[in-house]
Amino acid sequence: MDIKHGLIVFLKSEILEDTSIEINGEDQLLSSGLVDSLGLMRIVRYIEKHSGITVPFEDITLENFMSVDSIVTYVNNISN
Amino acid sequence: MDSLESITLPLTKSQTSLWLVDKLNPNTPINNVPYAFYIKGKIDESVFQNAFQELINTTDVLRAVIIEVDSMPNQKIAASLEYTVAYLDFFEKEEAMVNSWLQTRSEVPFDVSEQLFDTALIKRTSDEYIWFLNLHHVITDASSSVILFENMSKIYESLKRGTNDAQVENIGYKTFVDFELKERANNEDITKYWEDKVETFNEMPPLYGVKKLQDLTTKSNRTEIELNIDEVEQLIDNSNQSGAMSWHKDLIAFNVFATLLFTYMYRISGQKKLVVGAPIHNRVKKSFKSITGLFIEILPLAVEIDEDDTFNSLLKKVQNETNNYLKYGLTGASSAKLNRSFNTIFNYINSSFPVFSGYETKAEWIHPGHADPGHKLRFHVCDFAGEGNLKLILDVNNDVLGVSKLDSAAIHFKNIVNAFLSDIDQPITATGIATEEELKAYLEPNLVNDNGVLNALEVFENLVKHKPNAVVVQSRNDTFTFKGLNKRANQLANYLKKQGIGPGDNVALYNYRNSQYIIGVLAIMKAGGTFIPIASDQPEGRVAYIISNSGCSLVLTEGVLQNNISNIEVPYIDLAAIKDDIKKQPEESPGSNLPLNSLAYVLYTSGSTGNPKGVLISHGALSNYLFWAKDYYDITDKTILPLFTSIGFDLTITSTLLPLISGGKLMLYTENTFGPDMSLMQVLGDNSVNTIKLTPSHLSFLKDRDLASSNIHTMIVGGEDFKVNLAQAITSAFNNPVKIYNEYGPTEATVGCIVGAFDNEKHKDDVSVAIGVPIKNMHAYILDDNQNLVPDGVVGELYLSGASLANGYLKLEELTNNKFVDNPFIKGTKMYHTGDLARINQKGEYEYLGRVDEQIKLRGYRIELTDIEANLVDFEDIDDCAVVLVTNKKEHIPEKSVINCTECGLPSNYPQTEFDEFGVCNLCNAFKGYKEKAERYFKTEDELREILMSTKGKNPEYDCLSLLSGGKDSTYILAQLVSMGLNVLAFTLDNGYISEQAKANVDRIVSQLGVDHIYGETNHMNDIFVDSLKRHQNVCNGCFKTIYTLSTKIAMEKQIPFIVTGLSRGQFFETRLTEELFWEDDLDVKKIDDTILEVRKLYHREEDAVKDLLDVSIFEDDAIFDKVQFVDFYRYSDVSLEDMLSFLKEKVGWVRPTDTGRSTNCLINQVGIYVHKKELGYSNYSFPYSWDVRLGHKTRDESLEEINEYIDEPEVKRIMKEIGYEESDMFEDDEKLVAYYTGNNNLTQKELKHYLSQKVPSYMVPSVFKHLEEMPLTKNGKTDKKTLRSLTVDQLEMEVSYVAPRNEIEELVEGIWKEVLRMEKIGVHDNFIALGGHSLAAIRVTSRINEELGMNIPLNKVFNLPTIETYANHIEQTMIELLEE
Repeated sequence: MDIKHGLIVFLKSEILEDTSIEINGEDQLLSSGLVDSLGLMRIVRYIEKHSGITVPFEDITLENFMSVDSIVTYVNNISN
Repeated sequence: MDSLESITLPLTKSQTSLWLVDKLNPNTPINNVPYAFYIKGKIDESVFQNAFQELINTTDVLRAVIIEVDSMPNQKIAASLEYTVAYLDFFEKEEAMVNSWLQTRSEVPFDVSEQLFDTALIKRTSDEYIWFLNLHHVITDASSSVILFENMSKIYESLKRGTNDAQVENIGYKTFVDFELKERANNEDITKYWEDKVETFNEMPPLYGVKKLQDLTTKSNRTEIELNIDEVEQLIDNSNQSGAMSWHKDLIAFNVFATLLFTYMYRISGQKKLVVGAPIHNRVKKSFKSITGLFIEILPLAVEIDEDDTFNSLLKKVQNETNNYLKYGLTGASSAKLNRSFNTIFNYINSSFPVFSGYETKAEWIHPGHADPGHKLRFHVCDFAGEGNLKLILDVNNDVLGVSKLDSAAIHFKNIVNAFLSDIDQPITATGIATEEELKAYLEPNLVNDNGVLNALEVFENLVKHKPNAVVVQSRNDTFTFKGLNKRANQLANYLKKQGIGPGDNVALYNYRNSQYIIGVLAIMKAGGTFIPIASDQPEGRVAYIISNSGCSLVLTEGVLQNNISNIEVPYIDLAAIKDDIKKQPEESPGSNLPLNSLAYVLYTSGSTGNPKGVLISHGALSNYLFWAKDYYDITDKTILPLFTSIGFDLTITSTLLPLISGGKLMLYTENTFGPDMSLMQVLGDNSVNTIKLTPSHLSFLKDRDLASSNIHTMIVGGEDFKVNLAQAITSAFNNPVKIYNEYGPTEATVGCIVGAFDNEKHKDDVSVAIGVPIKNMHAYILDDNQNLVPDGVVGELYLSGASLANGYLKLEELTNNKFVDNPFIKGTKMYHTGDLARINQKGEYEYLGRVDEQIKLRGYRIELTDIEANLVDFEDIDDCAVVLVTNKKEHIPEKSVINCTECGLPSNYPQTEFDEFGVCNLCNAFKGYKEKAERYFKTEDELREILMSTKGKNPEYDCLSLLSGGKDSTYILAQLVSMGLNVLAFTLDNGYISEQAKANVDRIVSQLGVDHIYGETNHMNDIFVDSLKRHQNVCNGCFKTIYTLSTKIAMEKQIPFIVTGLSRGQFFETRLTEELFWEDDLDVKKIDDTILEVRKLYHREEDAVKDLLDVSIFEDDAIFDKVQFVDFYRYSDVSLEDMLSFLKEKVGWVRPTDTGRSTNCLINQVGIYVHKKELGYSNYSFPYSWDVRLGHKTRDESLEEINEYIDEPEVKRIMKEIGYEESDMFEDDEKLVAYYTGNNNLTQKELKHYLSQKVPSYMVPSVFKHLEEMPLTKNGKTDKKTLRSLTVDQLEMEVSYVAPRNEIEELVEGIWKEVLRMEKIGVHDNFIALGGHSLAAIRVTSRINEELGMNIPLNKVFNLPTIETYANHIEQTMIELLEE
């Protein structure tokens, strides 16, 4: 499973608990209130676990985490 | 979701810890969460009732109660609950009355087995209502309050509309309970992460200086601070956070308020490592957001503050910490251990309740007046109206701040907020936080400068005119009237004048404490000079230094003392030799003018360089003290004071002069020319004084004396920390009421400058007597590191200023400038930096709290440790040295605050006990892990029969010897053995204290069973008891060993192969079955038996009174352990108490003795319990009984009841006297000076003592000198004095050098020994046995090392190789051999 797909499944099943919700890559996660600070940290732990990277705190910015796409871009940048 | 039956669920971790807090603090509203919602609109009462019923139907936790199943809490949720809301018509009633109703109702504790909520609807006016809703915290949190409020609002609205279509989610709390249970198990490593994180933050900050550990109150008081929206926005804007999560406004606010809270905690506690507990919401799934119930868990936020932190730099740290907190804030991560890591809660509440069913609403969270006593401070931030104005709430435990000081807490906090607002880049300590009122108390004290003009000499001379013939000085040899004394002083003064002494000249007074000294003091003053008192017992070197350093022009001395100064260049006069000359001098005063700023005396005190330093005291300073003291202590012509202290102390000067300026009398007690000064005993024996000034060390001599007929009515105590229990003991030793004052003051502020009267009512709960308040014309400032005055309660450094201040140090300009600094509060004056720590307590008194530097007080003497070091290091064979004060403190957790394990009853003050969140001790939890294995150690009665019958018929007289105490257990054994058909010899030790009834029992039993019986005896029993009390703090150990020794001897003589003991299963675990024995995966019972046999051999060869006094030669040969084997009956029998008692009643007619007053046969037993409790804080039965409970042989209640049996103290004291046991002193911490040195290892204590006694006064000579191979250093390369202070008295007495472990193996061995022997440091040459290592400790040490290294070192090695060095060596050799194989 690629990161993007995995992340969307995780968001739907674990955080939003609603698999019927459509989430696409550009949807605003943070500014929309969909995900709160604790939820964001769960996302951080999820990607750390599944992509083997460590996210330093200074990287947890609005820019890097505002949407699924931006998270994927960030993870790819770090992994390379 | 509806179910027809109730369901029972376990509690979550958070719920359990709240339940436990309830258990520990029963009948308090500690977990109440009451709200009052003020609704601006008309509420229909019957609709409201129906709506609330519907709320109950849709909210399962409202139908919950807590039930206990097998003493474990569970929540039972009923399928339905009919409920009627209380309706109160307070139509237009007084607001105060309504508030009082709300408060009272909020403070009603819940019975958690009945109901977990309370609610009411209150009518205020026709369109104003109050909805009161109080929930037990175990079913709610901040988010739940909002959910309930909004659901109620929706339901009410729909019912009112008649549509009944409220959309209310009804998901049960079970969803979360299941989730939490699963996550808890998943997240054990996260819990470990948190626990490791707070490991080094193990000290609770003493908020407002309060360290109280006992009698903790749940009472908590609330104060509030309002921040308007502009201030809030400015705080957020100022913070200008960047990076992580700065997009989240609430998170920024969270960080800002955490920063403010940490700053506040630092400012009111002085502690830099700080932890707060902050609730994490845990509503991590969407469905959780609509469930009512307790979701939050409390996790720590920890920061370490640096001295130069600004608000901004601290904020950055907090930001980072918050990110961690969120990242690891996983469900189920909290733990009891984490909960114990903080005493402060930070609760950022993101909830609002603005509208109820369309009506504007104001919500108020009512404080129920109580909180978890572990939470000294709870800081809440909330905005219930949701408008952007914030309310900051401080709930402060009443032990920390009483109601009267509460408002100042709010001001302190607001001052910090203001500083943050004014400049975020300023250091967090830049501005003061004390209130106006607190500042005023420091700055405007008792300042009445009315005695400034008085001069001691003038007042004395006036008295000479008024009462010339009254006696003013009296001793065994002399009596002086005012006139006579004045005449002698005038004549000497005139003589001195002729020698050229005048204003500005220093004259040393090197003399004994005698009338010549008093005359000398007066004469030097009369001549206009400055006197320098030097006590007769000072070492020659010091005397010479003082004389030369003071630049004195003359020395007045007497008799043999002049031999000590024959080499100095300053002229000296032998007062005895010039007697006749003086008599010829004029009798009139030379009449010198003494300006107040001229020097009265120079007094030398211990200095940090190795030489004493001279403190310059002016006549103004002297007068300020003297005339204040005269008024304050009511010194009159009736006062009789003794002169009995060294003339080298400043208090002696003022004690001398006080009667002279008051018309009273001075009783003069001269010192012995050799040996210790026993003058105090003479003072008491004579019983002629009524006022006395002395040190607490003096007082502790007094407390055992008969003072009932003493004439003393006033005691002025000073010089060192004065304990309340000592003050109490002294008060009760006197028949007459005696006033006791505690006076504080360094020489630099003339004798005393802070004073208070001891008042038992006021001080009974304190440890030390407070030092009171500043005296007239003196200021005492308590400052922080930035020289801000600290708020009341907060610990800071004490600075003194005012009329009593010294002019500085003689010829030490730099030191003077360092210690006497500019007073920022009164321009143009100085303040003296005492180096003492102090705080102002809740009663407004100053408390002395020790030193910040190397200066110490020992028995009233002020000593600079570096003074001793500088002298010692001059000794040629010494390379380096360090001197420390070692204190053997008896610190016990007071009985009231001890809790007992909820399973076995083990008390929390048992060493190394830890309780988990269910209140279960670590021993119980560990035992659960090896219980099954341990059961394999036990065997059956058949096996017992087999063993005992194996030699039947082959034995000359008896098949076995049975130990019989006369109690139920041993009686049962004897009867059982007889019924097996064995020939039994019964043995009883008559220790001299067996009760009459027990003896009668023994005699009847043996005759009824028809067995032979022997009473063993020894005339050393009392010595054995005393030794046992000293070694083990009980009598039983000594008694047991005597029994084993004597009975083994008999068995050997009579060739009896078995001795059957009556040890209980609990006692097995107490004395031999340590946890370590069951560590191996493949349990080999034979191996345990072998180990235990080894232990038995070691046990009989251990040094103690039994070995010294009884014949133990039989144990030297291992063969004895084969010839006579010990069989523990209860290893084979698991008979229940019930069966045993009915068997005994039927077969033997056994009755429990009633004449011991306890559940024992032995009258001396309670002496052991008394001593054990006193020395260690808990009963010697606590541990074995906890095993009986753990093994199911006793219930927890039975065990606790027996442990708490009454102790007859007078009887205990009588027996102690009878056996010759001397009780240790409760008042005195055993303090001694210890010098450590490196260099020549062959120096003797005597040599070093002799050397130092020539350099420093005798009270500065250390009592122990200890050689070190290397000086231990801290990380920063300084001498590690903490390590040096942590060696025990036993270690100091060893004649070996302290050497820290030098390699990994030595470190490993040290680590294990330290844990088992419960010590802080062990040197590699220290002896295991001398450290208190016994056979049980040997099992534990050996098993642990074998486990750690996978080796098989025999048990006795630790006795054969009893030092870390030799033992580690052996390990290393063995390892090398193993490798070579």
